[in-house]
Amino acid sequence: MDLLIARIVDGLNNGVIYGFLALALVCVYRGTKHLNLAQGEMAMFSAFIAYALYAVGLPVPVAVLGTVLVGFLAGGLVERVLIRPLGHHADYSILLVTIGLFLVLNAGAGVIWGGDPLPFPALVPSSPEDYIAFFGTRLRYQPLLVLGVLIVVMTALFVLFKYTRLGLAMRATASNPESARLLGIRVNRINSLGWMLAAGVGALVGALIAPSTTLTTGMMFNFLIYAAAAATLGGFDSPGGAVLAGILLGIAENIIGSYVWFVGTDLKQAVALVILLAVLMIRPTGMFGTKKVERV
Amino acid sequence: MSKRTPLVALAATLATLAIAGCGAAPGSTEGGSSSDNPAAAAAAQGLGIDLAACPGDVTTVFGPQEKVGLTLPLTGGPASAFATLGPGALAAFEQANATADLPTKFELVQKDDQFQPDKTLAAAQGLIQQDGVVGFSGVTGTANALAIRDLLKEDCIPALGLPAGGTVINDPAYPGIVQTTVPFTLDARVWVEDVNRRFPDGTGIATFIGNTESGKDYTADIAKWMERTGSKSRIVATESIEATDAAAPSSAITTMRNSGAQVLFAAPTGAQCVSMMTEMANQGWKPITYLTTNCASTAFFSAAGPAGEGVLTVQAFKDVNSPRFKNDPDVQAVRAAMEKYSPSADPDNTTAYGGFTYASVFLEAAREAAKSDLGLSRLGLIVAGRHLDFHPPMFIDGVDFTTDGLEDMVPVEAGELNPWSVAEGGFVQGTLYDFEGQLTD
Repeated sequence: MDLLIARIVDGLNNGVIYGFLALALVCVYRGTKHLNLAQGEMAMFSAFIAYALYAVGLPVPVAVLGTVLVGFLAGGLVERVLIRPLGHHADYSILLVTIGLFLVLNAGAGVIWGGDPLPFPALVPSSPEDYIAFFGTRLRYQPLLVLGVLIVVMTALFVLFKYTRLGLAMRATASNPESARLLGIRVNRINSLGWMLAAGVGALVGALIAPSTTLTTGMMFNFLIYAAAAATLGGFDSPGGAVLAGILLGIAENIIGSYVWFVGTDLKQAVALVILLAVLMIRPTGMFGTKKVERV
Repeated sequence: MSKRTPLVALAATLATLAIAGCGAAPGSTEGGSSSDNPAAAAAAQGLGIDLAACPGDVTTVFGPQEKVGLTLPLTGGPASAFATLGPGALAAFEQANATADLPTKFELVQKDDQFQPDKTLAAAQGLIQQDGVVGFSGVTGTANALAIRDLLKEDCIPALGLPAGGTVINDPAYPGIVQTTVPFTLDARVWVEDVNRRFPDGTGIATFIGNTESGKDYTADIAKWMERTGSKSRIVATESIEATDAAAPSSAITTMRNSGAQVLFAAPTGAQCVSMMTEMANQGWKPITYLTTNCASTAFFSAAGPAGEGVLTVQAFKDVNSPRFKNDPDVQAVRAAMEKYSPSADPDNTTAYGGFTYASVFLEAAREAAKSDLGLSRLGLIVAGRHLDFHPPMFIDGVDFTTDGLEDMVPVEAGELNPWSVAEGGFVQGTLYDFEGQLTD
């Protein structure tokens, strides 16, 4: 029983990261209907910026908040310089631009900070002795902090999207930008805000998980695959759905990888993709995604 | 006979002379097929090289200026880890050119392969066909070297000083490809021998191996040496990890911890070494841990902090950031060479020193070839590379680079098994394991 609980906790720790990054993907999608494949690399680059801020002597919490601010502004800059000129309907062009951004950020971080892994301090006590014993396993403070921050951010975004005029404007813009513009919504600003929110959330997740992954240019690559799967599974327009799907994905792949003999570690990633495929065949919009209704 | 016949004959004679002139380098005394060069034929035969299948100029002595190729990732994810090999190698070649101890000046041509074997093949083809390189001073990565070895064999082009640890590199069918880094089979042998020494009655071992070509080598070599040394220990848990997986390997550690293993053999990739050590400490699991030589650098262990305490790695190279070698005269000399001849080389980057060392193997082979009957030619380089015995300056004392034809194909067969000490901020000198001449199958 203790081992099962340990495996669930291990899966939960990973799932929270998948869900957090999925939330950033949802932010862009809800505001603009675009998929940002550079989301992981933006988070990675932000984590390096947090490291740089910490290295110049800022306290860790200030460095993390600082990189969230930098990420927020950088997201707006990316939208203004790279995305907006392509037009709202240039889906494939935008997808290609995000791939280019992925490559530039990855190579850029390597040039600036080198290839060696760098340590990044945790926001909470994180020595081997810092944990809460729980049915024979150890609940560590940093993953608990990540989970707590994720719940706060998800709730804030849920309230923003669901109960504010700004959220309504974002949903209207994503649904039909032309109609939204006719209604007086400043569509470009809303698009910018979507990118800024996503980049800010991404910066936060990058800085929060860096203590466990260590800072490297490849730290987010795998997470992005799982995050995209989680967002698809939960629904690209559902922040809560994406987070829940990320957590379930993390736990499921860990349990199946541990107890199904022919899966093991080698086929863990395939588990996520099989689950994704199965759900999409039954419910193409994801578990919590909104069905697209067209008037005919 | 037509009036034009003598002119045609003269033109044909001149053309023949011109072609012959192009084929033989200035001052060359070699050339042609094996039939008119018994020394070349004998040397080639000794390595199983079919000279008749090689291009005719394989025995031609190099001219005063030649190009040497190096493939490595200069863009893409792995570039940040490996691109620094280039400036280090450049320093070695420029230093050799400046000190004029070779009859040929070598120009190092670096080509990006993004660490992808298919791109390595394209880069190597470009280096051979367009740049006209006479050899390779490095092909980074085992899978990458495997991708081009048939191409190199076809053109009888040497590749000496490879930063590729795979056991498959040392294949008698490809004598022109010479490894330089610590081979994974040495890692595995040392680990197994050390466990046999500590636990004569055997113990439980967990393995945590990357799901890569290198990982396959490690798995096979561990099994091979456990069997051959009559080890009484047994593998009680086997966990693997994808090369791109950056998440803390908590699930794998949970499984291995639960297996009751007292020993861990670990060969993950890059930063995974750090997250593995950290996660083990977090879970309170403290087996005797042997970690891949790929992670035997201060950079990885510094990032791991206290979690790296006591973890063992096999080292053949001096770690320039370790207090033990910081003021080592050889390290200082290489640092000075890099600062003088390749200012873009980072003097604190261990990989840059690796690049210098890999290039030094090519250059040492070139020196030996120049002194031999074969002269400094492609065949001369291959033969010299397969019969080298020297101590590269960046190798730890007691570790040499030794090859002996097809009898001893593994150049680096000794290494120190050193534990990391947090208090020292570096690796503490441990036991030297020397398996000289024993690792070739």
